[in-house]
Amino acid sequence: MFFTPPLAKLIEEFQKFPGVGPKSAQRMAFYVLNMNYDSVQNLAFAITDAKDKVKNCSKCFHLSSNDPCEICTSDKRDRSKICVVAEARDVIALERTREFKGSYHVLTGLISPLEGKGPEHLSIRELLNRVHDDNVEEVILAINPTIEGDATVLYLNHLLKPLGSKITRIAFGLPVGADLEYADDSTLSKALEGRREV
Amino acid sequence: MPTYTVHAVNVGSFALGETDKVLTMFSAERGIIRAVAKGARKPGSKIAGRADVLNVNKLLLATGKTFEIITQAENLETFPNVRKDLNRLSYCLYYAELTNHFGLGLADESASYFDFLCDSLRAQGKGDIDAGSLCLVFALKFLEWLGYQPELDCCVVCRDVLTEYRIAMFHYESGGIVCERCTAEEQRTKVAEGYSKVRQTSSFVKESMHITPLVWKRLILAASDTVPTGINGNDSPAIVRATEAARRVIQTYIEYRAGKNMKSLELIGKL
Ligand SMILES: [Zn+2]
Ligand SMILES: [Zn+2]
Repeated sequence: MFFTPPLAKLIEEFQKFPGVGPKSAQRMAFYVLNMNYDSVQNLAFAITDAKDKVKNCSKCFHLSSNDPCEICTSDKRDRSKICVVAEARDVIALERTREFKGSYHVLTGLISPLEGKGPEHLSIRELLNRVHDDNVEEVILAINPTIEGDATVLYLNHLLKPLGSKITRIAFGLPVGADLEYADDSTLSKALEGRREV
Repeated sequence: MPTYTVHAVNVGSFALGETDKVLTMFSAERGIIRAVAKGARKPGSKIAGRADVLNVNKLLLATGKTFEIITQAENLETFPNVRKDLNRLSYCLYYAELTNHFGLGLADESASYFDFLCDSLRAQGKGDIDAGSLCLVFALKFLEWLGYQPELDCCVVCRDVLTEYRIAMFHYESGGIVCERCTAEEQRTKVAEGYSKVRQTSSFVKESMHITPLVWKRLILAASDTVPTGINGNDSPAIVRATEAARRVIQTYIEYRAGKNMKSLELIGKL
């Protein structure tokens, strides 16, 4: 199919988005062409503005347009508890629960031994400095129970233990409303392992 | 669509599209297989827990165009103890990485190699024998599977029987130990030839590694036995160091054969 060059270019750019195939990219490009000029300019501005202003917080590595971020500067947050997560989107998920009132630390990834991604690619040194300098009482590791997650937890535990803070890992088990009968073996054994008194 | 059943260990994976994962696994029935786990990267996906590296599954596969397609998966083993110790986890990932790299050469003996791999992972999970020693035994056996088993009894150059007074170097290209006399000979020839002595020497160092009598004995012991006798928590520091040195010699030899470094052991050096 032939598209005039600027349109072809727009389709090509949309197609680079995750989950967007050629068909959706075409639909999005035609949608943009049908928008009024102001809306298109707003869209273009929003993209470059977000890219310019949203950075990693220098303290916790969460995404924010302020540095330090809103969570790090809030006086309602308990700085003696740090919840360690792999990605910024995990902070957003945990914030949705409104349960946690401590601070966060985003590792910006996980150790992946098979891909040769080592701890030096993550914000681990900064985490250790925070735990040491801020007299942190508890470090909560909210990290997925995958091979990469387990490797990262073991490595962090090794480095954090000597600093004397309590180290915990969030529990894994059955999703709320799930049926024991249909759970897979590793989920069930994790659930048993993380059991607690009622 | 024709389907068939396999029993397989996951030895590697990569992302495909938005939510899928391609698993590389070593199966008892067909050796290395690559198969798509549809939706394995979707939150709450049932297959996700089974798609992790090192898991052993019984799978129903359908033949696909580029990759096979997983239509059913039943988890057989997950080695939870291995995932509680960074050293053991790294060694097990190393087993997976080696299997992934050399696995095509093991197709003829897939059923027995599959058992050997599962047994080796189980042994790391049991935790009664030191992780590095187990890895040394695994690596030597693995080389045997590939037909690269190193020559440890005779000098690879003069074929004389080695004794602890006559060993010098492990030579990677020749795949075995060069005696003291041959090593000295080789160095004399190089000096006599006279040209770019520095370059020659440095390349010789890269192609070989110095071996002490104790390291040689650890190699012999690990190669002679399926269960490493005498290698346990009570060893003297000298024995522990020699076992580790022996493991590194074999690791480097495997990397020499592979033509690349294995990534999974990098973490151990960082502890
Ligand atoms: Zn922050
Ligand atoms: Zn010789």
